[in-house]
Amino acid sequence: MEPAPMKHKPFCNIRNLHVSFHGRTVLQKINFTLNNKGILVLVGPSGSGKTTFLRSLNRLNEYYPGYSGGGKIELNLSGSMQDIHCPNLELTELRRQVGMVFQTPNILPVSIAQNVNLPLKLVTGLNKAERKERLIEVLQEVHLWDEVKDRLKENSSRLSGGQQQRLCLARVLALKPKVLLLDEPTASLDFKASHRIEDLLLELQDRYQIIAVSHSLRQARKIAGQILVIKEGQIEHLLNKEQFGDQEMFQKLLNDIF
Amino acid sequence: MNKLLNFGIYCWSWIATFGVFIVVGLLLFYLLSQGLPTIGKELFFGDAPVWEAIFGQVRVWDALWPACVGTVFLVLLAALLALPLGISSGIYLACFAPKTFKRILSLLVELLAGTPSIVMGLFGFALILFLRNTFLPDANTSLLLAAACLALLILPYLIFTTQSALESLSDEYRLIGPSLGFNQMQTVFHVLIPAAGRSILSGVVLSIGRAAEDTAVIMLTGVIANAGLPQGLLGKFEALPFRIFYLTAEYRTPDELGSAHGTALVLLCLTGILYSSAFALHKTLEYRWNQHR
Amino acid sequence: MTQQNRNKNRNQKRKRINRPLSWTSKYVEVLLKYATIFSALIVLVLFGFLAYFTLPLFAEGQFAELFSLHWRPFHGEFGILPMIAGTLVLAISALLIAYPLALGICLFIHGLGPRWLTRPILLLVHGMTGIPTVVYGFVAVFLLVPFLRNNFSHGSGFSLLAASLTLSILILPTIVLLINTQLEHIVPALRLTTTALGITRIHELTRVSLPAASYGLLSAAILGFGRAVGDTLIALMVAGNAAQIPERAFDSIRTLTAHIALVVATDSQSTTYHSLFACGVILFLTTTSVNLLLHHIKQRACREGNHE
Repeated sequence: MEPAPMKHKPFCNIRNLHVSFHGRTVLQKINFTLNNKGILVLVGPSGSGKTTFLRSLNRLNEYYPGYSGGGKIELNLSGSMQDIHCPNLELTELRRQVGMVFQTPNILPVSIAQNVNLPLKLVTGLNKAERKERLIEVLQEVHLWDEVKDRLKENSSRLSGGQQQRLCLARVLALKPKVLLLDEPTASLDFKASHRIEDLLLELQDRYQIIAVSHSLRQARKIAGQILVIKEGQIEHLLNKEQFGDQEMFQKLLNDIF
Repeated sequence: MNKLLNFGIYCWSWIATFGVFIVVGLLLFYLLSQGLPTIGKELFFGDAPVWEAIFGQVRVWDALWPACVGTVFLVLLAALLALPLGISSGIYLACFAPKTFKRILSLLVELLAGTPSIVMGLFGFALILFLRNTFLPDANTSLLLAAACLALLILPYLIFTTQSALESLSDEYRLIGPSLGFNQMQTVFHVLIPAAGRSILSGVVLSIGRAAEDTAVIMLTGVIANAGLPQGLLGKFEALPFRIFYLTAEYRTPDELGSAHGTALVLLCLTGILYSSAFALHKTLEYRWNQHR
Repeated sequence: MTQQNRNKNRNQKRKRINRPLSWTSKYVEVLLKYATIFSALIVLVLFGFLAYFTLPLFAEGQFAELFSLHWRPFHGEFGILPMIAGTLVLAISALLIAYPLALGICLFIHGLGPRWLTRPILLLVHGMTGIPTVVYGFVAVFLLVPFLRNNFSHGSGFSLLAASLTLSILILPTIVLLINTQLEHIVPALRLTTTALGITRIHELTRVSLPAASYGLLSAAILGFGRAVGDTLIALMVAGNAAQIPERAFDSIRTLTAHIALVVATDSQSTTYHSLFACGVILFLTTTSVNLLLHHIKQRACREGNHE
C-alpha cells in the first residue's frame, strides 16, 4: 500500500490554461493552485467545460480533432510537481499515472480478468504471477472480488452496470496511478449502485488524489473535500467544506451561479 | 388538382413497391420451380461416379462439379490476395492516416470502387498482352490472373467496410486505450480491432459474395466452358456464373437448359448464404452493442 | 527499499519493455501505410495501362476512324460510336425506369405504407443486392424476352427495352438504399414538428422531407447511372448485341461493356484490340467522372451540414 499523500500540500498548479475545438473556445484563462483536501468535485451547467477540464489533466483532449490549446499544468506525480507537457514525460506514462474512468462503463469485450490483465500486460510489463496478484489486490480494493472470484473467465458484459463501473475503476487502479479522474462516474447507474461507488470513492480518497465531475449536487456534497464551480469555460468559485456544508447557504450560492 | 396529384403519388408508391415485390417473387418462383427438379447427383456430377469425380480421378462432363471447385478456388485465391492489403489499408485509413493524406487516398480507392468490372478484366487482359510482348512470350490468361483481377474488384469493399467498422466505434470506446496509457498501436490492435472484429468479418464475407457472383472480370481473364477441374494456378478453369452465362447463350439440348436452371439456383443459394451471414454478423453485433448501453 | 527507489526500478523496467515495442509499432505503421498507398495507386496503374494500349491508335492516325458509325472489323472499320450511343441510351432508360420506382418505394417505407411492412421491404431490397447479376440476366432471357417476343411481335425480343427493364431492377436497390439512408436522417427529426403543425404525411414527404434530401436524391441518380454504365452481363445477355445506333425500343443494341466482352471472346487481330482499349478508357473516364461528381456533391453536402 502506498503511503497517504501529505495533507494540504499543493498537488495541482494551473497557469493560463485555455482549450478550444475547431476554433470554438471551451476553456479560457484558468489559473489556480489546489491543495490536497480530499476529493475535488467539479460542478457546473452542461456544456460549461467540466469534462474538457478533466481531460486536459491527462491530455486526452489532444486525441480529438480540431483541438488547440495551451497553458501550463503541473501535477504532483512522484512526490514533486511535474509539468505534464514536459517532453521528458511520455504521454503514455502520464496517462498511466493519471487514470481516468468514464461516464458509461466502457469495459473491453473480453473476460473480467482480461479487462484488468490486458492493460497491465501492455503498459507495465509485469510477469504473470505479479499480474495475478495485482488483479486480486485491485478487485478487493473495489469490493468486486467476492462477487466475481468464481467467474473471472466470464465475459465482462454479463456484469451489472455498477459492477462494470467498479471493474473499470479496478482496471485503472491496477496501473497504480497517482491521480484519478472520474467523469460523472455514476451518471449511468441506479441509486443503489451510485451509493456504492460514492462510498468506495470516500475510501479511496486517502490513497489517490481524486478529481470527479458530478451532475448531482447531493453527490457533490457527500463526497467532496472541495467543490470547483465551472461556468462558461471559466472557474467561478472554489468552495471548501465550510461553504457547502450548510445546505441552505450552498443552495443559495448555486442559485446565484446558475 | 392538388388532391389528385397526392392521390397519384400515394398510388404510385404502392404500385412501385408491390410491382418490385412481384418481380422479385416471380424471379425466385421461376428459379425454384425450374431449378429444384434438376438438383441432384446428375446436376453436379453428370454420369461420372461421385467419389472418383470429387477426387478428380474421373473427368466430369456437362456437370457442375468442376465449376463449383473452380469458383471456390477462384474466390479463396482472390480473398487471399485482397485480404491483407484491404484490411491493412482500412486500418491505416481509419486510425493512422493524417487528414489530407487520407482524403487523397480515400478518393483514389473510391475511384477504384467505381471502376466497372469489365474494365478490371480488360486490365488483366492488357497485362497478359504486355507480358507476351516483353518478358513472357507464353503468358496466357489463367486462374491466378482472374483471381488477381477479382482481388482488385473486392479490394475497395474490404477497405471501406474495415474503415467504417473502425470509425463507427463510439468515442468513449476509442478513449479507453489512451486513458489507460496505451500507445496508438496498442489501442488499435488490442481495443479497436477486437471490438470491430465482427463488422470487419461481415465485410469480408460480403466481398467474398461479390467475388463469387462476378462474371465480367473472369470472362476476359481465363474462364472457359469445359476446362474440368482447375489444373494449377496457371491453368484455365470453370466457374458457376460463367457456366450460367455460357449455357444461356449456347445450350443445345433440354438437358443443358435444365442444367443451366440448376446452376442458377445453386449460385443464388451460394450468394444468398454469404450475404445473409454477412448481414447476420452485422446485426448481432449491433444487438450486442445496444445491450451495453 | 524506499518509495522512490521502487518507482525508479519500475520505470527502468518499463523502459526496457517499451523500447522494442515502440520499434515494432513504428514498423507496423509503415507497413500499413505502404499497403494503403499501394491500394490507392492501383487505380492509376490501371488507367495508365489502358491509356498506354490506346496510344497506337493515335500514332497510326486511326483515332478519327474510331468515332465512325460502322463496326466491320473485317473491312478494317472500327467505329465504336454505336456502342457509345447504346451505352448511353441503355443507362439513361434504365435510370428513367428505376428512379421513379425507387422513389415510390422510399415514400412507401417512410410513411405512405403501413409501418409493419417497412422492415420486410427494406430486407427485400437488401436481399436484391445479393442476387447475382448473371441470375437477373438469366431469368430475363427465359421470362422477359419470350414475353416481349410473343406480345409485341417486333423481332427476337432481345432488345433495348428488355435490357433496360432488367437493368433497372439491378440498379433499383442501390438507389433505394441511398435515398433511404438520407431520409432516415431527415424524417424522424421532421415528423414530430410537421405532425404538430397538422401537415399530412404526404405533404410532409413531398414538400419537406424530399427537398431536404436533395443531395441524396441527386447522388442516388448519379450513382444509379454509374452502375448502369458499368454493367456488362445484362447488356450482353439481353440486349441483342447488334452494333447499331438504337432508334426504337425494340432495336437490338450493343454497349461498350458487352463490346469488350464479345471482341475478346472472338479473339481477332491487334487493331481491334487497340479499339477495345479505347472503349475501356471511355468507360473508365465515364465512371471516374461520375465518382468525382459524387465526391464533390458529398463534400458540398458535408460543408452545408456544418454551417447549420
